[in-house]
Amino acid sequence: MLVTNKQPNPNRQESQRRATWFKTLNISRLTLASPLAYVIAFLLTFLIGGVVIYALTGQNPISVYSSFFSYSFFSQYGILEVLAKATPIIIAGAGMIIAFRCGLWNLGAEGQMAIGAIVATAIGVNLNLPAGILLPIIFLASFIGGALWSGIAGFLKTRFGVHEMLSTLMLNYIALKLLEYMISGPLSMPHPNYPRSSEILLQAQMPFLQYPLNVTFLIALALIPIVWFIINRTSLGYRLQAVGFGREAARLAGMDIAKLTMIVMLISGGISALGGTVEVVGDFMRMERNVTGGYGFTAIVVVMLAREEIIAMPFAAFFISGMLVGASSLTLAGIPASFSQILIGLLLLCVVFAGYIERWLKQRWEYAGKIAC
Amino acid sequence: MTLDLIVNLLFATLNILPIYLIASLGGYLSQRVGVYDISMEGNMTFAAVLGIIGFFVADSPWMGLLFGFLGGVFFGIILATLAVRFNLDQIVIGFGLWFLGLGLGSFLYKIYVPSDQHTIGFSTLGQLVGYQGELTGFARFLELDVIFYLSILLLIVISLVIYRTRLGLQMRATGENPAAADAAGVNIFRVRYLTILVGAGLVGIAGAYLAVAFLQGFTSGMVAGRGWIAFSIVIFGRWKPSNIFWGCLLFAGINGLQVRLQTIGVTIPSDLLTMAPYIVTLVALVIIMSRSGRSRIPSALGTPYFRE
Amino acid sequence: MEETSTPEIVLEVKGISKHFGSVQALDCVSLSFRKGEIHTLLGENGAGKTTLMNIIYGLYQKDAGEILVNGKVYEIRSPRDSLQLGIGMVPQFFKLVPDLSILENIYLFMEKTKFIIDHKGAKAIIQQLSEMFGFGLEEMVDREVGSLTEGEKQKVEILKILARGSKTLLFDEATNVLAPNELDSFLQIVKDLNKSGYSIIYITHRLQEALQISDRISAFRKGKLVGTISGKEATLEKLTVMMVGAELEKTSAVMPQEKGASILEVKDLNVIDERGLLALKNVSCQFYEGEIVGLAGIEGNGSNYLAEALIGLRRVKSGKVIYRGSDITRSLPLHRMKLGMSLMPSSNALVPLFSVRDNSILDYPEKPPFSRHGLLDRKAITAHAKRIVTDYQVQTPSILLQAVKLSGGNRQRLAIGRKIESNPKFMIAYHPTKGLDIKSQSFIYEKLLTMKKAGMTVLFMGTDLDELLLVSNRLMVIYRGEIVGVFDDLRSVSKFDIGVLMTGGARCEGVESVGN
Repeated sequence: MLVTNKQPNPNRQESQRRATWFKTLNISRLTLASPLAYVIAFLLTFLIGGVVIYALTGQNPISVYSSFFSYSFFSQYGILEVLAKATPIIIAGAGMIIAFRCGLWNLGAEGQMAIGAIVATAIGVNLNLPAGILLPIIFLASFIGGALWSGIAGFLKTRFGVHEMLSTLMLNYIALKLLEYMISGPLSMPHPNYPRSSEILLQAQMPFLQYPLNVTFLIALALIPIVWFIINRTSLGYRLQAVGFGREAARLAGMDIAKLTMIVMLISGGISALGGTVEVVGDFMRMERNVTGGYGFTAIVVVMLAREEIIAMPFAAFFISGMLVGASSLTLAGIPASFSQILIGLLLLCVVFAGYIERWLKQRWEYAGKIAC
Repeated sequence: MTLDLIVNLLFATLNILPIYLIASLGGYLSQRVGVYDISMEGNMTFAAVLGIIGFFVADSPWMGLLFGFLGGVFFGIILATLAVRFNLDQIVIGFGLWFLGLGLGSFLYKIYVPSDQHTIGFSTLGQLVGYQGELTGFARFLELDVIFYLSILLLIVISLVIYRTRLGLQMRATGENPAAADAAGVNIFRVRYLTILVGAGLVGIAGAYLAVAFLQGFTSGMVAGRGWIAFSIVIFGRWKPSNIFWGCLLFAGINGLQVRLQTIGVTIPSDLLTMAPYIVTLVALVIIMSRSGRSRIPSALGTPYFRE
Repeated sequence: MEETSTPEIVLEVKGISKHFGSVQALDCVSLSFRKGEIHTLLGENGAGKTTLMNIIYGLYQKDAGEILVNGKVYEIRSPRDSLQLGIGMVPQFFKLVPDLSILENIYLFMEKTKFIIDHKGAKAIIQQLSEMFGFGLEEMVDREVGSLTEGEKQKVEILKILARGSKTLLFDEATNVLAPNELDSFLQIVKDLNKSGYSIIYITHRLQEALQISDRISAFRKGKLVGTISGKEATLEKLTVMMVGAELEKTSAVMPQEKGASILEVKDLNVIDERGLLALKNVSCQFYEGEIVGLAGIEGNGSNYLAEALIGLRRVKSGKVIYRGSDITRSLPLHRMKLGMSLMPSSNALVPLFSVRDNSILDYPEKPPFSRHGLLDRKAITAHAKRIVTDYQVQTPSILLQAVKLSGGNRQRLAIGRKIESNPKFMIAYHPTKGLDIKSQSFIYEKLLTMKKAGMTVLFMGTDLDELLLVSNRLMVIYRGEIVGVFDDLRSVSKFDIGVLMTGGARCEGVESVGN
């Protein structure tokens, strides 16, 4: 199959070194290479993005960017919207990181979210129970649904050797079609104007902190320490990282890699599915065609930008969400909202390229300064 | 009656075939020399819009294809530069390009393409030869357009180049064992670079053809995973042009079936039917993986080449 | 032996040195190769012979010295340069494209070829060469190389350089990949090539082969040229002394000891390698508590398969592994480790991007006190890591340092500390001192001997006889997947005897054997 085994991210060395220098206060130029490369990547992204704007629309990039950022990061409604949009991205990304850390390319967050949304809607519309019981059931059932869905990819990988990248991508499209079928068939509301489900029961609808920011945002935030804890403080997290960073060493230490792959895919898919659940119970209050909104795909970029670090991931999510929100404000100025996708793509390319700059800077400086580590 | 149905299905299939065939062959070329082109989906979306723009520039579908090709080559340059020149992660680059393509596609469409404009496809073989008669039986081959025949020609040319020429030999060796190719004096970097450019250009042509001739307009999400399916076809075509042809025929057939069943009023929910290509992809991957190991994969696929 | 006229020198190296890191791989080697001779370079793994070949062929760049081809000094920067000078190499690890046919592989390598593959012309050339030297590939030029046997692939490699027009042929450990029945015909091919005028440089660590085909033999040891003798003068004894550096007297000072209770028994073990060939053939042996058993074997003879099969990482085709009376042939590695077995590998013992601390529990993350109910106890792990760092003298500025940044010696200290701290009863040590400095080496011996006194059993796999005789109570020799000798009393055994067995010199039936 695909032969790319996920390589351990060489840049991770840097984050661990950061932990060390912080303690010894032994700050060297080398530690600046990574932030510097990131800054270069961001500048390059907006520079190229600006060129695109100027070349294609003839507008002044600076004024475009300023209205872009002033809406998403400096207006109250804009900020709330950014946080609201970041919610499903953070949840999907948190699930994805668990798999990435184990060296598994689980790119199926979008599909897992769709399954989460379907399960949440099916229960939320039909099961008339008090909120205190109904909501836990919804979340638990969505988790199990997503876990089983990505478990298919885990099974195909461990049993047949089908690469999880392709299987999870295909499962994405299948799940999205299933969602479309559900809203136009079994879960469709009576006499809809366009395909969508009935509204979920009132007690299944989670309250808004302040519109458009829902309580589900707090769930997303709470997930970060939980996933961090699983990765860094449990023996499961220890083993999955051992496989991700040193497959051969883990094998020689007797770890059952197939079993671990299965467990990781289940947990990863279960968490990602909750991203779809919160869209149903905390935003749409029903299911529509675009309920997953491509956030599962966006989460891939977010995780790559955060270099698979769970703590950095929410910040990357805020940033990307800011781009999505900011770009939607530009439509008034005649610039299509898809400008955000262009920026996201550019950002990813520039960050990859920054990895090269970083390596190059380090080589030069290490050579010139001979700084001991 | 049933024969009629089958013939109808066949021609619905052949109508769609060029999209998959051209895209898969493009992806095949990149993978043949050892580089994953994950960006095919984005590339096709970008090229689809360029194709429509190109069409209106000269009122000619050919200009559309040319625009699509150039858009693909542009993506190829980015991919080749980052992946071959700088040896960076092909997967992450692919995802970046995927998003870039989706974004650029709908961006350009909103700005440059007047709404509700329809393009006109290529002339059919029948029109070209001036055939006036009734299109039944074998004569229906005349209703397929020129690109269909050119895509078959492309398949043959690529097969011949890959298997019968020194260049093809060098390409295969580069994808299988770059160290061996290097030892034999092949310029790995040049072979990879140029092949990726051509491959990505073909993917672009497929995108443009999809928009200009097949759908005759742009809707958002119109590529609908066809790029990823083409990518998968290359993989379970086991990196052989002939297998890729059969894979494309299979998927075009599923697409054709969808169209046909809807027109004759079979009531399978269309959403469930549209799942079929993805499910077939999964099943095909399973069958291939369990049948034989990893014999046919270009061994160096996905790995950058660092000279010792 | 001496020809009347001075022999023509085709290739000469003068004062070649090469180092990798702190290791001196070649130390001022000067040697000349005559036209039309078969010149064998003999030495153990790591003796420097392959390094010298790679320098001549242009794969490595020398640190010092010069290379003369036909009397003229050349700078050889890449294989392209050496091929231009008529030097071709049959590498140890083939550089073939498995997906391409024999003809295509050769065509790729030939110079000045047509754009459209000239199938007919190339086929004629290949068939002619193949026929001339009895390769038997005439009828299969269109077969894919991936489907060929290793022996046939090797012939394709030879054809490649012949078709390219090379006159001086380098063979690097050519017989490693061959099945025993392919050996004789291969040596005949080398001789035939030589007769038709090719000069041959033949690298091997097998004494028999050197004796069979050489006009002259140069022996290497630890990066130095020990000496060159003519093939007619060479005897098994002389070569063994040159290669192993052993005098022929008895060497081990370890007294044989009373056997303790049996701990592990291996019965008729057969294991298959990736290519589907038998990597272990009917291996039977027995181990007792409180002893160190050496397993002498040159790499590629199956000791790695034995190590993996014993710990459960490799499936066994047939045979039994019995640990303290219970059959564990099919049990998982984790289960075996719980029973007290442990594998100490030569590399990959640590997760490179994990810290020293995290690496200190790699074999037992589930075990209390390091984790309870699935939660890690950082304090216990830190204390454990600190103890290993102190007790096993791992030099690191912090236990948070990534393992990849430790030196090789410190890595192995950390690894062996981790293994010993789990208190194993039976340890498989696979080349545990490979590539280490002397201090770290003796540290590891010391630890293993201490553990042995405490009752642990060690199966020590290695190549270096000095090392094996230093630590072992008993010794087994493995050659081509078979145990070819077992020595219970090492005081009466010389390095020479063992060396001969290791290199396939003779099968030593019943030399105080207990194995069968």
